[in-house]
Amino acid sequence: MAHHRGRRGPGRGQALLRATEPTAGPRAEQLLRAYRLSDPGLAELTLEPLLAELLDRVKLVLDADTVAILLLDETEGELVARAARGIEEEVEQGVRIPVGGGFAGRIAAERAPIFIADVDHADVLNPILRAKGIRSLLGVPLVTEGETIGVLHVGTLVPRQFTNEDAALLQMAASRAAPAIERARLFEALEREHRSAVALQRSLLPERLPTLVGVETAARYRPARDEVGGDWYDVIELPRGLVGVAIGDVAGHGVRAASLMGQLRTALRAYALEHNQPGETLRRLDRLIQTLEGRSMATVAYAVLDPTTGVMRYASAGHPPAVILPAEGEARLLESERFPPLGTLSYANYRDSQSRLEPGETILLYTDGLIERRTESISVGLERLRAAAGPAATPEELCQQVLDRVADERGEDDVAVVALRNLPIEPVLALRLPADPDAMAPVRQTLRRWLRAHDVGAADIAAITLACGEACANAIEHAYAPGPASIELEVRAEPGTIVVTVRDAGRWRASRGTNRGRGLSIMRAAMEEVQIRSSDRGTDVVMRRRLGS
Amino acid sequence: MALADLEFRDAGQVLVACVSGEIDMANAPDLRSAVAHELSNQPLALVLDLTGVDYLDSAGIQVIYDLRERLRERGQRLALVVGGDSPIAETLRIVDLPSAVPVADSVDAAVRRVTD
Repeated sequence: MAHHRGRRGPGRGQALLRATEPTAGPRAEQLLRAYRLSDPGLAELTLEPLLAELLDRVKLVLDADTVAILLLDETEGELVARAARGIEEEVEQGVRIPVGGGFAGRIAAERAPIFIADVDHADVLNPILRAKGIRSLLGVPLVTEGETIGVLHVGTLVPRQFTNEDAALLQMAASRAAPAIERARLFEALEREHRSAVALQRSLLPERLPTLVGVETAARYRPARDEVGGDWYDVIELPRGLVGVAIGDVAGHGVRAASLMGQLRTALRAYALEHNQPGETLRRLDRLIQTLEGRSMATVAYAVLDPTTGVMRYASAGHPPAVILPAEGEARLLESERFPPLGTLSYANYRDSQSRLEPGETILLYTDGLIERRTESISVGLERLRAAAGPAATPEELCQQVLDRVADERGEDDVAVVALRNLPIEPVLALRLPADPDAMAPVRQTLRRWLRAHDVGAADIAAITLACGEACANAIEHAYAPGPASIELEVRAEPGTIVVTVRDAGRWRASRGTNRGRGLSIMRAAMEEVQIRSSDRGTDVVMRRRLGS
Repeated sequence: MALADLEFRDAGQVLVACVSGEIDMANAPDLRSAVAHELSNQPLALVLDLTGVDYLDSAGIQVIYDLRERLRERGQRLALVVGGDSPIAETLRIVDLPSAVPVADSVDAAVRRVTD
């Protein structure tokens, strides 16, 4: 949604006349001197090369020993040495001269050339000039659009009577250079602002996406070439194994849009943790945006997936439609109820649409920068995206693929994409997990998801999960520390029966206190058969449960 | 992501601790400490509301027994709330917990059990 001002840096348009060009005759010599200092090619340079080129030419043309450019720091009312030849110390030491004081300061204040025939007797503040043994100085102000922006001066190590012609040449150089310097300075300031805005934007996006059970996610953010936008994405771990995936786009551009984006991203996370209805999340976000200063508007799409059941709730506030990629075959657009962007309508009643994201399917969310081009309707861009979002091995590849194939390479708008795949179900569940209590919850979630996909009923799932949890807990408690230990879990479906094997490298100890004793009772009650096989290499617990028993 | 949420409220002279989520060896010790910390000598009893718990293993069972022991030392009573169709009801039956601690199917019923 960013708007764009054309902003181009000065390029290397025309070839610069070299300062060492051979010359002929006194009149030709004079003309060439003048031309060297008024070369329009100088205006094409960025600040540093421009200053360097200017110094070299002035030094050569005026046959001076030293040349310096001081630029005005308006906030301090001081001249700052910015570039020099022969007196490089000025720049290295960051010499600052107050406007009105000393040689350069008086030039800036009086906005007139000053010639000093003999430095020893003149009002020169800068000790470097004296220390260098400079005897004569000639300086002129750098003026553009009626404003003094700095001072250009030359010096000699032997006393010299600068002529009117010398002064005229130096003034010509100054009047040519001043607008170019000012332009280059402004451009650099803009560049700096752009860089800091991009850094801000980046810092407000997730550093990395969480690793979650049953899904694989990936995201990309590509800033606009010239400006920062308010696009963001997020993947949110929700209670009870649910996963939220969000994308949003704040209207406008620049630092303000980026900071509003940061607020909305945080607010969406906070509301998302309260409940699992995307419509309700958007309604609260809308209420929040209405309280923020200034007129703010954003489009947001938010989906909540239960990877165990494949049920997906989705709500969109004026955002372009999500793309659903099946495991095989053509991508389709996700149909959902349409609601206005956040911040545009009081009491907008955002509601969820419920659909499914089957194992192997992927949902792709993106911002309009991906599909929009100025010259064509959105439906053309949508179709280009749908056609390009072909089968991809991973969400990572999918994100890259759509950025490469669909996004406008001119980069006029920022682009965010985020993809979430409900992972396919393996025929046999095989996991290696660390012997760590925190590994247990994800394992249960993975197990429930696998069992459900194999048409196992709720009571059987609860019993198998419990028995498996107890077997793993036992392995963790008896982990043969020190050092990291791991447990292998394998679950397979035989006709009418689920077989669970938990393997570790420790020794089975059946009852250390009543707690573990209870663990074994629970396993035996939950499963038809529990076999514990211990050997030197470790312990295998093999458990079977007949389904529907 | 926290495995379980824990909230407290007062029901007259009874402290109600309401747990929702999952209880396993990763969070059982913290839940036990949090409930023990909240429990002063004032209330007559603790009602542990497990209505919202959908997984509880032997580590969670141990928390219940530990709390029962602690309460008994101070002359306070304990009751559980577990719905009849709760996924943890079967686990409690396996370890014969209902014979050691009264189990009701609502907070009101549990409060009546420990205050009559």
